[in-house]
Amino acid sequence: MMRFICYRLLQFPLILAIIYVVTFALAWLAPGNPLDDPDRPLDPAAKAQLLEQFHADSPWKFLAYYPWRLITTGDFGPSMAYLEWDVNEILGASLPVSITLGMFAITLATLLGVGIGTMAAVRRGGAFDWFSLTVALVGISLPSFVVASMLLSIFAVWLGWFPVGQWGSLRDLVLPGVSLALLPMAYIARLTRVSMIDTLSSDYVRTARAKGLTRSTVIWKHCLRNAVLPVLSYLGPAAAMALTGSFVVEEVFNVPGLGQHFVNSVANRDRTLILGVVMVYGTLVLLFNLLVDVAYAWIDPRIEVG
Amino acid sequence: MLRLALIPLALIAMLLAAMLWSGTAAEAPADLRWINAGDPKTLDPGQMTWGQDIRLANGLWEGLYRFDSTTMEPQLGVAQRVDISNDRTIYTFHLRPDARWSNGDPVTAHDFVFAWRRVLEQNGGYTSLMYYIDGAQEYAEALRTVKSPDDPRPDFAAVGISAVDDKTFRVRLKHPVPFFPDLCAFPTFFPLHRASIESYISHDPTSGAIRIAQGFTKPPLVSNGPFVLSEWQYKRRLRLVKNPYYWDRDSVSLDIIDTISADDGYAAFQMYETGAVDWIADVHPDIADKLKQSAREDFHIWTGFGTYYYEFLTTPSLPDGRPNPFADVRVRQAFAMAIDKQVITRNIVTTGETPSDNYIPRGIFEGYPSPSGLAFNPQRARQLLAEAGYPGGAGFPRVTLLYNSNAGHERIAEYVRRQWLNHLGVEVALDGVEVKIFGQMKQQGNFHVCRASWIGDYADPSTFTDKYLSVSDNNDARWHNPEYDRLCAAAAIESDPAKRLELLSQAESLLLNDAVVVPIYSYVNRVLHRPEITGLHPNPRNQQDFKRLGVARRAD
Repeated sequence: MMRFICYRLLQFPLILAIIYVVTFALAWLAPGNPLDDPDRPLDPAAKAQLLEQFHADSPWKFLAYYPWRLITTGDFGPSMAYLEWDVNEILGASLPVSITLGMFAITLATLLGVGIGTMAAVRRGGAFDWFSLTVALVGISLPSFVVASMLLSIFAVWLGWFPVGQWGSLRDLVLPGVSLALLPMAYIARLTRVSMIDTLSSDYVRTARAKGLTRSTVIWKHCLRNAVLPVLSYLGPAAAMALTGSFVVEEVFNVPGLGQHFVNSVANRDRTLILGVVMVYGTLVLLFNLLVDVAYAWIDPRIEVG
Repeated sequence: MLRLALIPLALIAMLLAAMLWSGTAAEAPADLRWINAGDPKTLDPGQMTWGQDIRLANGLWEGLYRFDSTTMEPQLGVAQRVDISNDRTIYTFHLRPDARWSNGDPVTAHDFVFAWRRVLEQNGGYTSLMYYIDGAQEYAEALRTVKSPDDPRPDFAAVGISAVDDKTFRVRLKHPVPFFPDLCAFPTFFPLHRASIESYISHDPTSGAIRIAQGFTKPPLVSNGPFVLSEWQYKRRLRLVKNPYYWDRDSVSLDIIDTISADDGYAAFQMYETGAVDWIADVHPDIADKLKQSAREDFHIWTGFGTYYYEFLTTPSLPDGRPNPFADVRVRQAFAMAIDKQVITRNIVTTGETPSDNYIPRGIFEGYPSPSGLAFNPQRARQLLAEAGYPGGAGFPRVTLLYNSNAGHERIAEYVRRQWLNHLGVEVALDGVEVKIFGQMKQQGNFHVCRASWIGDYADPSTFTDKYLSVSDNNDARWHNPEYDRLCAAAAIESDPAKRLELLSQAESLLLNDAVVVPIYSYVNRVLHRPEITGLHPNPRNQQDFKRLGVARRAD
């Protein structure tokens, strides 16, 4: 097990280096400049001076400066669009927010999703199954801007139960968290239901029941362990995605998270920030995939890793 | 079973840890919470160019003059008294003895010399505003050409900026500049407290020019205005508190002002509706339209300081080498006269914008005689096009209308395309591109006709007319007219204010009748604020004096 983890961790730098180079190439090939704005053109002398200051007057200068700086000091350098801020400061301010929101959403999605999926499989064809299918369908098909706007209008503006556009307390977390949780919850419920139905009809379950074990013991102790495996493999990328925020949900609820930068940094051609967010996202995806693989082996001893 | 239960437990534990990590502590509530028109780009007065930055800078700093937000006339700020020489080129400012920085240090003439010199040595967006000062342009340009440490460096003593003593600051201008007090109230001309930012200051190894690194504007930032920056959380909040050392502190009635970040116009409006903010400096157009229809008393439309227009490339050939039909003034005039702008402000942009035939919005400069532009006249337009050799649009080369997509511009472009087709018989192709690509294409002159806009910076029509000077970097139309250049140059040295405005008006008239630009409408400011807030005044630049802001009674 340890050997497996070490081996995977050793691969990380190589994968991240490839991600860095590809992202850099794409960010540099995109036409336009972080300092240009058609309605507010910057004085050419001022622009030249800033680009020089950013080591961004040529791609080679950029490559000679930033990767080395990142490796030695962990510093992504200054943002080219938000002139007063370093990329590290931006990531440091927005990543904790997105991680909190993402953790909330993923916890909610996992608990509810597995619960609903299991119940639906057990009462297959019943009213609850029908209900769970509907919820899952709605969760998967409704785009997050519709869900988010609906939740905002009903619970914050109309009923006044939750604050609008603020961040800091548990109450501020609920509406954006629920909007973010709906899609993974629906997937998890579907995945759990299908694999639970599969497991319920297997021989060992019949044996367990024949031995005289209660129905609930069989379901929650014996079946769930197997049924939850597909959910785990989905959870890795889903968690990485949830933790890095969502542009739409952040816009609607005015959450100061990381998701907005995935879109804005590209629109601004803010090359250092693009690299910053992509590297953070890449690292999270790698980490969560590793975690999922470890959890797999841990839950199902039949699976060997390494 | 236990192993399975550990997964949700671990998730919950991580959630709690994350919440502790990202939480914020409770603190004193603000007297006023507002949403600026976009997040500040920079609070460095020497670098800033955006309205939202200038709005904050006016609260944090004070120049020799400051704007009176009711009249937008410059009033004495740090300067208590000014002696102006008879030829109006030498200004001697006597600084207030009680003008202090937020750490208690006195504001001295040296603080101005340092900040102004720095703007010349470290180019900002508005360094060129300093070029009215004798020797400033020569100095800045000479410094830029220093390519090795052995090259001779220009001498700053030749620039007309000097500290006579600690409290006397002297400026020598190239020629009389009637709006110089206005400029002194603009952030580019604000002082800086050198001692507190020493660790950010370096010198260019080649030219020795001053460089101030980004980031010095974070708290504790020493400033000399009515407020100080006490907190700046990225994309969350910016908190201003009253400056205890401000010379006129007795006139400042608010103690804490919070500027809340909200990128999304809808989120901002919901925050206002639920009481989280009291003032929105720039309301989203879709929401403004609804508010206007419902005649809300707390919603205000004020005249803006800019124009939405189209401009033509005027070079003899198009970027692809074909001859440019728009090089012919008659063609440009025909296109300009074939747009019925009333329909645009009635059906497309509907928050009180006024259709305009003028490049410089009417009525924003006191005493400026706005020339008449080319009004909608389809018959005359057809006639002009026929005279240019394209009767009924026959034989007109294929041209493209360039705009940036996703900002409502396509609706106007589509309408204009149909107007040109109906009135002139010319089929123009639409090309909507992403904003950065749009900016690049426009700058490189890679367009035929394109969307444009200009928003003024300071209180003089030259803030508009300078854009189309032959030497201007922003002259995207590539229009070169010696008469226009001559009129603008004559206005720059004219000391009689009325004659000056007359010269600039002639220049604008030339620009309009040469149909380089096709004005479409004048911008407006869309402002939402609670009636309890006092001291907000309508003005085209939408700049407010934080010193005068107050809250009559709390809403809650």
